[in-house]
Amino acid sequence: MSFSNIKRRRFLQSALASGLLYGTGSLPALSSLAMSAPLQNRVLANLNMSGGPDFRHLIVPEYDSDPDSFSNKYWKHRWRAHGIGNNQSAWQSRWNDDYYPITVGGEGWGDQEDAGSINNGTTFGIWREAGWLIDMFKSGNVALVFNAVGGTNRAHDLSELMLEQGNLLSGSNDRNRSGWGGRLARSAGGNVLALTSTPRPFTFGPVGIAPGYNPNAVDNRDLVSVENSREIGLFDHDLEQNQLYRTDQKIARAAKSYYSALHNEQIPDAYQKFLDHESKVREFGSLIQGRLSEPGNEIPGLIEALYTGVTVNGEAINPDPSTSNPRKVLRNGYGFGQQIRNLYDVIVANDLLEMRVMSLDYGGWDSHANQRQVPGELTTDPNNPDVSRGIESGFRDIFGGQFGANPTDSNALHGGFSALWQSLSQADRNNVVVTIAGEFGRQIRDNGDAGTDHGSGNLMLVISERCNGGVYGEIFPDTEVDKYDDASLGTPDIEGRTEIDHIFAAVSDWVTPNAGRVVFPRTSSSYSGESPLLENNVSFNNLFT
Amino acid sequence: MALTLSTLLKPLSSLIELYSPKRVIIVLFAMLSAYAVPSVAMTEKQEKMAAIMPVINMLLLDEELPRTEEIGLGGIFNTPVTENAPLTTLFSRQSGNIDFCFVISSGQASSLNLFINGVQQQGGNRPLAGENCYTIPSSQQQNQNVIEFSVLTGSRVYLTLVGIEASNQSRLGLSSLTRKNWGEREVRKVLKVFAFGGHARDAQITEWANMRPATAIRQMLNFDEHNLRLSPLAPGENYTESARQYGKLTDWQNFMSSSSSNIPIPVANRSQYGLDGYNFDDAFNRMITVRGLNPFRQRIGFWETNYHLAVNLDASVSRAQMARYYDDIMDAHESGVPYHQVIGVAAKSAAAAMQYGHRRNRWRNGECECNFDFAREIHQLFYGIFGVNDPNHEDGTIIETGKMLTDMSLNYIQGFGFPLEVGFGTEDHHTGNLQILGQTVSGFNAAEKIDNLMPKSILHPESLENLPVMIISVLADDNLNESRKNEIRAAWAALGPNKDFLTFIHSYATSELFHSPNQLKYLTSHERALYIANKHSLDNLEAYFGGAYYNDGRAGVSIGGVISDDDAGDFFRPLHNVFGGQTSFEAADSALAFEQNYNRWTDNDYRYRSVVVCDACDLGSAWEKKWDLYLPTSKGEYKVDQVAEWLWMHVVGNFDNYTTLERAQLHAILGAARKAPGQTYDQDHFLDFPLLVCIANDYRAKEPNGSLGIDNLLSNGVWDRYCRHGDSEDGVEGYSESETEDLNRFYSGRQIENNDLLNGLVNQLGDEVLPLTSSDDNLRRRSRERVQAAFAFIITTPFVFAEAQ
Repeated sequence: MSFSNIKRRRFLQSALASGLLYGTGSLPALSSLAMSAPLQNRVLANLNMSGGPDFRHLIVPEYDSDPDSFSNKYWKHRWRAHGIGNNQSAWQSRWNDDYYPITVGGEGWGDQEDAGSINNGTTFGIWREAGWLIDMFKSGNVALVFNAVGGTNRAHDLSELMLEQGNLLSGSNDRNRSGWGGRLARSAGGNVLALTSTPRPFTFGPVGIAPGYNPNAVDNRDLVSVENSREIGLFDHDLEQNQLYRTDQKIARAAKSYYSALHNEQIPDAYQKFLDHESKVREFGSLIQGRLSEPGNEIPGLIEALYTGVTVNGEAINPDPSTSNPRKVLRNGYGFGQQIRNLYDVIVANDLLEMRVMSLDYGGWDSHANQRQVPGELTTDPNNPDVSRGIESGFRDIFGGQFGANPTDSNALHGGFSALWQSLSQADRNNVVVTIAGEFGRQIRDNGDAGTDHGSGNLMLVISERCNGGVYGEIFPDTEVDKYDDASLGTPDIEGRTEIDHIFAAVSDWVTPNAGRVVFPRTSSSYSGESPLLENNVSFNNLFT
Repeated sequence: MALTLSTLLKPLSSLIELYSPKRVIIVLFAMLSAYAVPSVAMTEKQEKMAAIMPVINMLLLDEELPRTEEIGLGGIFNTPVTENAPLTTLFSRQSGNIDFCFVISSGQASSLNLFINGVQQQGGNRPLAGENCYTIPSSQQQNQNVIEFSVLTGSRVYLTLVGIEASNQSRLGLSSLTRKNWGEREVRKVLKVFAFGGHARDAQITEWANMRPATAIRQMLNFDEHNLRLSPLAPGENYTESARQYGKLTDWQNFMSSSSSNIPIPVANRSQYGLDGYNFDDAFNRMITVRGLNPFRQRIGFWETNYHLAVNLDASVSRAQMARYYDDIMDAHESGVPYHQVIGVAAKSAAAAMQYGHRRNRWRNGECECNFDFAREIHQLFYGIFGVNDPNHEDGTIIETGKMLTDMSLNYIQGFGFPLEVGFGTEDHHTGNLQILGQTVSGFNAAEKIDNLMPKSILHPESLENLPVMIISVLADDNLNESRKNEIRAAWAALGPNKDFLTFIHSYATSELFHSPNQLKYLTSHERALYIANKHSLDNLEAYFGGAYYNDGRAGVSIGGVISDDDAGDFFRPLHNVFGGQTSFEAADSALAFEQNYNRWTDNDYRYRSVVVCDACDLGSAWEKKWDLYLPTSKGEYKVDQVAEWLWMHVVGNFDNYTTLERAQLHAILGAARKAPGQTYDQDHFLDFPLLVCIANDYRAKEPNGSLGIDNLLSNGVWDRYCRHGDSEDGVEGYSESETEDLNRFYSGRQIENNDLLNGLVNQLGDEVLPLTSSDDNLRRRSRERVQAAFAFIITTPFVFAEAQ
């Protein structure tokens, strides 16, 4: 038998247990190239903060000298993680200097939400360098959800799986289930865009059509990967040039011709992913490049400055004090900064991409040691992006900046979301909701290495100009007070009281009506199993206006 | 007597043999004589002796006599068969089905007559060149079975690896492949998944394919620093030191960075590869691509240090500590100690103490001044113990483990940095017994306690459940369901308390489980980059260069560039820190990785075209990429169809997806070179298949009586006149409408087959000859560039991203 006689490919019917199959040839309907238009639909941008972010470092209780107070116990058991001395004076200075105080129901609280009225009079502080977050909160655009549960154990990978799948019942053997972002996009009838270097499980779509799809399997027909919106695309031949002398174009044409034919052949399931990549990168790349190349669609300076040195009107956005040369703003500019750029770009091309969900990530939150670092360089160069400040570098990248006509710090450089918000039109901002969460929180006591170890409950954030900003859940639970000094407890943490289903189902409903109970089936009245936890007196029915 | 024949493909080394089918014949018949023959299992050494002795005997005795061989299960021998020396092989009844196998290594297979228990094997049952296997069911066996070989008058056939074995075998409870279903495809699959493809040449692959799998796998996969079967030096290799020395990462980096080493990298460019240099990545990946070392050792080393027991150069681990970590772990593997001791080496290492920070953990005044990061991860990441259903895990085991990991000092040494070994003290150590995983762990210091904990950990129920799956799922199979996981778990459990990692890998790599259609492995960016580099590079100059440009010349392909472009995380800087590097699924789901790969091998054609020849890149001397030493010939010529098939097999490892579609593109790239006598420089201007078809169609339209033969289409006055950019005859500046359509058109395999013109072109191109050894420098160079272009085309296909059926 000669191999030249092989004329038919073997087609295997065996379904892959991995299940991560891409759709075959189901490119979404594409609009024609046109000038950019404001967001046509409500969209979700989800930021995954993997590693277990210590939000009890970002938002802290007001200093209180009463040794029996929650606050005093917090500082007594957290001073090492803050990199300060073990004395009342140091704790008070840290509070006074570095945290912006907000009192629930107090001055300036306005009509912000205190779900269940369980925090009235409680004062908390937001780390001052999270200027955009402070301003957005003050403007009523941030819902802080306390005691939220993203993962029910302290193992990173399993808890991340639960968080991204939006399913706290998932086990380590359930990696082939859809993500809640993928389900939401399917419910909304649009695409989910991965703006990260590789799509996260959050983006994986279910099998079937909403509302009856199977969430426990994966079909990524709606998933489009836009890791670099400015360079996406496949090299192609150019018939404006003489083809006889261009080896690159001959190979490109051979490959394109080959793939075009291969799309009509039967090949083993395992390789379908790559056919899908070929068609999507080629088609979407062409569309995005066409749109972004139009005049007026240049990268806004504030966004470009996140990841590279930018000068506007002759002034560097973030000048190096020793050279005056422009430099990037974010420490993680290449990763997060470019994701923000991608996010901006796909909003510009939203009518072509028909997206409803976007996925971003920012890692590095597993802060077992030296959680806060204050290198000496910051004294003279506080905006130095190359200096590690521990987890505060990340908080600054994500939440730093300013918002509104009277920002808390009008000199603050725009961080990631701040730059994005500043660059979007009001019409666009009206249609965006941002969700931010990590897989679990950390223990309430710091460890002996100036860090914090894995815990469970944590803060999660919902940010939108259409949400009812405020606090949801007991900010500093009374039940924690006794845990701080209880030596019999080896690893006390924040009790998880509200499972993500409730939070993100409400978000899903805003993105597309009635999607919440489909995306998060445990919130459906017809669900027969155990309902997801919900903190007493807390409701998300009015999370959005 | 009824005969049932089944065949399996069994390619061999020479081209004819390469595509000869392996024959598996089930023999059903009546029987003859009876002799009692003991079963004899031969060791590898005995097999070698068996292979040599008949030749020695012949030479010494200079006579050929009829020969009778009594064989038992596992027995192997080699022998000539001549007119005067027929062979009779005897074996006694066995309890199960038997496979009788042999290889016709030389001579005319058609002259060989084979009788099994008196029945001549005729027609489709006749033995062919290469390996032949006949299954003899137990129900058809006699008390004494007789197999007779004879040859026609004047003929001589040499048989090797003659032997019998049970048709059904298992190792560690995993059903094993036997000779009848172990062949070149299976060997290449093992190499691809477990050795980044390795560097074994076709003859070696055939040799392994003809062996019993259990024998072959021991040669293929071992932990020696050098495995010259898996990674032989190229013919005439100039850079041979790697075959004898520098098998450890630390030594390797010192070697690569030394000004006195015999490597083709200019001295001025070497320091980057040293322990004090910045290019740890490239130093390591050269350990995998340079011939003479052991790609399997590095495959496991990469997995251990970047996935299972990952530490991170970006997390304060120094380069020297990382290299030591790697070497200590792999030395432990090489020594053959139980796997829990290998893990113990990692747990006690300086690298882990730096990574997790427990070097600062102290037990003072009855309190643990500790972080509990490694106290959790030593269980979770090293063994897969999460503490499921253990109410004492969080507040018991993890806290107690934190105490275990106290007083593991790494005191900074001025002028050196942090040391390479942990100082295990007692002053700040919790010296008392600890309760970990429900068991008492004692020890004077942390090292002793770790040593006492490890054998308990590996037998913990969660470890038995998860660790074997962690090993196989990351190394080899992305498609494990619960049933297949259970098979793996059972094999792991069968190793007993002292688990031999290599035995586990050997058993799995030769199992039906691994070789089943259900197995699927997506290649990570690292795996793909290394695999492609190993398939691309033919000698050590290319491997050392790795796509770099030295002395006015470029050679090899970049590995670091792929990793970087894919955002896959550098070697020893795992994407997920201690949770490991880029996963298979992340790589497969990454449109970026696909895009970068596609563009790299299309847009950046200089990467593969400019690496076939240089005037002075070999430390001032000229160098050429010698495809001619590897590609098959037919009557001394490099025919396009054979070269195309060889390249596909070489890169993809099987012909599952090698169809008319692939042949058409490859034949054009390799064979559609202009025929321009006296203008040999132009021969690099090959035509891709759509362009060739465009020329043919344009020519046919304008010259209806002209020949559409390939010789005419590629001749001057045709290739440069039809489907021509800016052709005044067409009255357009660029390409005409019909030409544009042709250049943008694609054809399915069926369309090509059913179209006389297209099919004819493909077949004619297949008969073209590549002048790879031409004395004309231009012809030789351009033909090598066309091989490179064909290689590039294969790399752009989906089939380089995974190992799957």
